[in-house]
Amino acid sequence: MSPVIEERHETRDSDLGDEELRARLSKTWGTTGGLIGVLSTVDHKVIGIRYAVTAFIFLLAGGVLAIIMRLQLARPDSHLVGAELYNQLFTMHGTTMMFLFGVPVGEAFAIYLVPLMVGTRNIAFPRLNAFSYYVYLFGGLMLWGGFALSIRPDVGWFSYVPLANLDFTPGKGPDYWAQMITFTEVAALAVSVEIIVTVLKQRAPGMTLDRIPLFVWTMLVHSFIIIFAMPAVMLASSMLIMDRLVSTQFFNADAGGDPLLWQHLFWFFGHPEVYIIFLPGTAFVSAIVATFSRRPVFGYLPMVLSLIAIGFLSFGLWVHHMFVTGLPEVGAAFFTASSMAIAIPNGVQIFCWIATLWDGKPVLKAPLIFVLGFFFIFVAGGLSGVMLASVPIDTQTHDTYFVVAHFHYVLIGGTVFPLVAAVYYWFPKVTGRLMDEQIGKWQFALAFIGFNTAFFPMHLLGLYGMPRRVYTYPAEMGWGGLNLLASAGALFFFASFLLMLYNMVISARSGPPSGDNPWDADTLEWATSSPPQPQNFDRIPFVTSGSPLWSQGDDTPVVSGLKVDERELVVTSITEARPDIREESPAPSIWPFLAAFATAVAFIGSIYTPWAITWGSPVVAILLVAWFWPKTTEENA
Amino acid sequence: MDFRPAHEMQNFGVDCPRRSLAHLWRENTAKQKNAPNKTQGEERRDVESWLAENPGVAFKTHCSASLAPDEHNNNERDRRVPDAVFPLLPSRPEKRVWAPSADLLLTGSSLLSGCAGVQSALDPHSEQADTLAALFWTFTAVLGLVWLVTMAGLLLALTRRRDGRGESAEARPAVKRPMLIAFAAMLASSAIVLSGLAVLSFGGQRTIFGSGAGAALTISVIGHQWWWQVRYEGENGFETANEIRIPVGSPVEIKLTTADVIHSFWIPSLAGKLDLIPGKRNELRIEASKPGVYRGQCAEFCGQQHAHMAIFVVALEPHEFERWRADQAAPAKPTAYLRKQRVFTSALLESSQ
Ligand code: HEM
Ligand SMILES: [Cu+2]
Ligand SMILES: [Cu+2]
Repeated sequence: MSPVIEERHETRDSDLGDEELRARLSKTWGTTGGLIGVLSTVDHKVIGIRYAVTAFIFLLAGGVLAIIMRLQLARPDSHLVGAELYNQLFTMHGTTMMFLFGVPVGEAFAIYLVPLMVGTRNIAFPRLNAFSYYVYLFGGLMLWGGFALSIRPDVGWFSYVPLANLDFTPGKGPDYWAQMITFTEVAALAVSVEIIVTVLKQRAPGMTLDRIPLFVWTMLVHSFIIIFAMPAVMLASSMLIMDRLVSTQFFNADAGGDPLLWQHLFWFFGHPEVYIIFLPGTAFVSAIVATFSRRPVFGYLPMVLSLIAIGFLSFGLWVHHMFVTGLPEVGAAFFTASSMAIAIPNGVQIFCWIATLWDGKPVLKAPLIFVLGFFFIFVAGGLSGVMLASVPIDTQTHDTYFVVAHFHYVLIGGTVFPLVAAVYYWFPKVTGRLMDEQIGKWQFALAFIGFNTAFFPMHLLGLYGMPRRVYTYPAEMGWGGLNLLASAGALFFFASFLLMLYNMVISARSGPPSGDNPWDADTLEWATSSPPQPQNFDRIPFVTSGSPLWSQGDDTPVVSGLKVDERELVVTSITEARPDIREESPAPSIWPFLAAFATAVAFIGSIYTPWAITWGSPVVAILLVAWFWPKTTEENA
Repeated sequence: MDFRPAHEMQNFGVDCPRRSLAHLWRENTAKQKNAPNKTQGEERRDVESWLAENPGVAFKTHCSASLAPDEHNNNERDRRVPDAVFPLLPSRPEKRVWAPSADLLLTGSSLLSGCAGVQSALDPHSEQADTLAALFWTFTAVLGLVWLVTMAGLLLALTRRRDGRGESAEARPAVKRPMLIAFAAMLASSAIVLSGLAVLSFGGQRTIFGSGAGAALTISVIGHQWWWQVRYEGENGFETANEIRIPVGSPVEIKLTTADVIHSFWIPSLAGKLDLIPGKRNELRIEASKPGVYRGQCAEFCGQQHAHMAIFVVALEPHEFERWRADQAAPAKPTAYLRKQRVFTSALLESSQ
């Protein structure tokens, strides 16, 4: 039996002129209005922005907590907040910054930019993408909702056992903490899979491996790190919840468990986590340095190899967080060596960026200025990291303010400064308007001076014996002056973000129109309109160079033959990016939202009773079936 | 629940840094006492007069930024902590007239003199702490230089004269020889610098992984939320709390265990820190090279009052140490105070549930 498939006539992009093509495509790929439409959207740009805005709100929230901590520490013997609240503050600050800001903000930029940079119309698995956002949102709301309801974790962002066991920390705080991790990890794993598939299979034809922008390479490595690192912490946090909820004894030494098992599992994730947060920063730096030096980053191959080396090495360092737990000598030496070794690929990257600036003609616009701040701060943080890698030195600096200084230098220097640079750089892409340069420079001055005033003294405080996570200290210790200085700096640093917020608001409303490619950049996201149409590209470009917009000019060849009235995109081969097939990209759907909601209810319920998993799973399963229900007619067409 | 009655507190002048240590120490020893045969007052005077006779023992006289308390307001204590725990917490001078400018000034001078205070890794008083501090300064010097070179490179890259090149982008700039040479030099030098530092670090490791043989004295330190139980082992053993006395010049073996959560034992002027972990026995060696009082503080977050888990090591001349030890051992009384303490600590736990 051979059913006769009737050939419907389908409009292809080659049949239409530019104007009409654009209108028809944007109707096909657009998001409908109304609440259902808003919750159903699968447009990677919309979801990317939602991710970014949410992460930015969490950054501000975490910053407010930090300011309260700094006010408490500004003077000795202070009673502004008591011990209990202080412990909740630093736990929420660290947790929010790492899980609700640091990881998601990198995802946000990847979700928005990677599909544009590789020249495709949507991210792979766009419904999973929508799902991941809602899961992340619900996880964050749960943690902060709990905080508002006085269910507050207070055992630090790495929740060491046995302190986090039920015996020492009753209440539900640590459970909320652990479950929040499950939420963010599910979201991060989903996004990683999407990014990997988008990069490997949806690149514009002609974008061979050696023409992939460094930004995209970085996000690819970043996604692989997530996939290998996150399961360890999901395992650990689930074991913690089980210890607390159903009395398993994974971490109880008296019952044959081991508190150090927690530390190994946590840091096996926790160190790569640092790179998960930091790599997006390097992605921004690569893009911005190239654009503002007016040439591609020097040493493409060493850059890519360094990224891959960082990806591998980051899994071999975790024990440096445990140097004072009483390790055997040889073990300690091994992890000293591996921790120092990772400085080499990092050094290669720094070198290549500086060489690019040296060779090029740097244009000192706000994005580049913030990148210069990144060099200054991040290199210092990396070098103090080399000190911490030495076991003997670490026995004096571990768990002191020296470490607090170190990781803020790395996290803020390595991620937040490039992030601000990225906001200035891609703001016109998203809004079609430029941000104010002058305010940008003031913001930089405030941030740079504020940051160093806040965090440099902390190195000294640590050496002078101030442990981290103390809610106060006696006046006699002589730490008052430096702490006061640090607190004053923190206020300035925080103010710089308010200035940025102000700049974003006024620029979005009335900033000067930017045109499509205001910086004359070379990567494909600038090859379309700013802001981009829902379909990203009216015609898919054909890539013949690593810097397509600089070398290809206006006569970029394009791919034709895609359907106009259906969501179709080109799937290409992994290495050569040869066009392979045309593939349907999923349409908007409300099921991901509903599935995420049901998942959230099940996860939160499981904090209180294991039965929540039993009853929640079938519901989630039913929603997933609805989500994936095959649409036969379209498949056959 | 009762709160601790007004706490005795003496007033000190602003000038003498030794007193600030004495002050902290007195606060700490007031927490726990294992000498029922002596009044606490006597005991205190002991060390105070000793401190007075030995100016500059624990830290140099130029190092402290203490402004003495002149007013003490007991009402402002953290109200969550029940009475019984109060002896554990150093009492704090409340509502003192606060002089930030003086604080800052002193900070400035202590920065200049490279001095650090009562609990500082940069103020070593033992061979091990000396080695660690020297290693720290070596790393700082080398890595500081690396940072300077990098920043100089960056500055050069930004300010280099570019012979009238336009702003148009170059998609395929020629790779210049100097860049390749610089790249190779950078790779080679960072490998050399890092290997050098790693070797130094391995050398420094020997001081912390030294063998336990030949210790003159063995002391068990047991961590509790939030105090330190100290047990002098051997016949005529006895216990103290939050204070360890050791003889100068002989190695002391410290066995670290915990009764509850993870703590970390850290006396910066004498040795690097080591954790106290349930189900694990860690051993640390300390040896003070000079008599003095050295403060330390728990360095692993261990719950609500982690900030107040201080400990003092008093290094005495050997004969003084022996006299003190004999005193302590003689009556060998059971430590009623300690037991009481434990009861109250668990009461606190229950009350917080
Ligand atoms: C306004 C800017 C910030 C200020 C003033 C600030 C201040 C602080 C302070 C004072 C602590 C130490 C608390 C303690 O040990 O007692 C701390 C801890 C921490 N901060 Fe920040 N911070 C800021 C921004 C950030 C950012 C952007 C990140 C991450 C991307 C971050 C990540 C962390 C982490 C992970 C901890 C450790 C929390 C813990 O000990 O459990 N901070 N911060
Ligand atoms: Cu690490
Ligand atoms: Cu502690």
